[in-house]
Amino acid sequence: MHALPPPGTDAEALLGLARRACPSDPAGWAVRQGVGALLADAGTGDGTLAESHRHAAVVWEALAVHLERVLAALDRAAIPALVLKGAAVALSHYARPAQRPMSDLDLLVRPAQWRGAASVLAALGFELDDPAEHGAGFAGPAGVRLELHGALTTCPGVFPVRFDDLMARSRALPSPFPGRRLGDEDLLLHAALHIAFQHGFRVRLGQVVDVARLAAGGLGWPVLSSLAERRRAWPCLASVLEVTSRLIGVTPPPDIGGSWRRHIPKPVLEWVYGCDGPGGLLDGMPLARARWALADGAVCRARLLAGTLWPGRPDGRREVSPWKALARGRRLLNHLR
Amino acid sequence: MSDPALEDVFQRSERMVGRRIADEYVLVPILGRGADADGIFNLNRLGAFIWEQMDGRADGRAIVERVTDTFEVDGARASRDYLAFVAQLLSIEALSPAGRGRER
Repeated sequence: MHALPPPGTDAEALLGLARRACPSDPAGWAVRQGVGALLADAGTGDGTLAESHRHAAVVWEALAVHLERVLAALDRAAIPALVLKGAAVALSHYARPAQRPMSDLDLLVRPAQWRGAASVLAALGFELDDPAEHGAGFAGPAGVRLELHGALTTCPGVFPVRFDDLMARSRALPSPFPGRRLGDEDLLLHAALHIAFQHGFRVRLGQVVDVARLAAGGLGWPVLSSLAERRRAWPCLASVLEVTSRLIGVTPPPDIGGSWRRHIPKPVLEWVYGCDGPGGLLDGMPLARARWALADGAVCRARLLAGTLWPGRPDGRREVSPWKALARGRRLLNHLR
Repeated sequence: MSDPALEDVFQRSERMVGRRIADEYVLVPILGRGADADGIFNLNRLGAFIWEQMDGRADGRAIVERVTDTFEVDGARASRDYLAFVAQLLSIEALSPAGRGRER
């Protein structure tokens, strides 16, 4: 294992990766993979990258204006919220947020306060347009998109976590944002769950770079290890660390223990080493197969099945009646027979 | 609203926030419904300068005077450009009227 590079020194490596993945148009590939702005800001590349950086900066300003307003309004309504994903990483692990292109904001609130938070968003001009199980998408002024989460992933029972525990480990956002983000260890764990379980590894390189930066940023590895153990998230974490290692050459420091790779489920390991180059890794694996492999043991698989057949809503309620869920289960069994 | 005149005084609308990014200036709408899909508006250097003068006190003549003091442009051209720009800002509700002919 080798030491992690400090943040901001990996532009040349990323450009090399882009050249290998797409020799005919490395800059275009880098932009599509969400690392164009990072490369441009490091003084690398051409006009395509510079334009990508400019675009990311403009979009970030719009997102920042609305993030500040939304957090202040939730605070006035006494609804604690945590900033997740892109904005949280951009504000904590990049020299400038615009280095990390993003298209939306993600906030987590307690499931019991999700409806109240949705009302706060509505008062600010955000309209619900994409309801989903663990969160819902809202379209706001200036074309800004915001996802309001009541849980970190689909089928939240598979990787149980309490909002209050996340809040206890959270960090204040830099000024002028009046709110908090996930703590570093929770950010990395969430990135791993998002990449592996939520999307079956079908993500942009920028999200893998987030993982590398979080891993390089003075992380409490024993804390992370303990959280992964408690939340049964080691298969996701280890698999994403392996993908990050393969793509960017970043691996965890030795003090996490050389045995972390033992947590990678066999089907994931076979997929990782069967992939042809970076493009193959970023294309991901079949989602259902990935989720089944990443659910850690019989209990988690039972929760995955239950969550799939009887999905919840971000406010903690259930989408369908238990009878309908049972009927779905019967249909699934018949199909399997 | 009728066409803007140099005697008119405008102030920046509360539905827009202005942000400077390196050499650029953008106006970000903060009100309106999501379905409107309002865009983000880019201002050039002169546009940003005029936007920052829209304080609800200075009228168009005072602002044009500041423009000619700051940029290499004659008064007639500056007045034309100013009125065209104000009309654009009014069309996107970035400005609201604040009276006529004060603080000349």
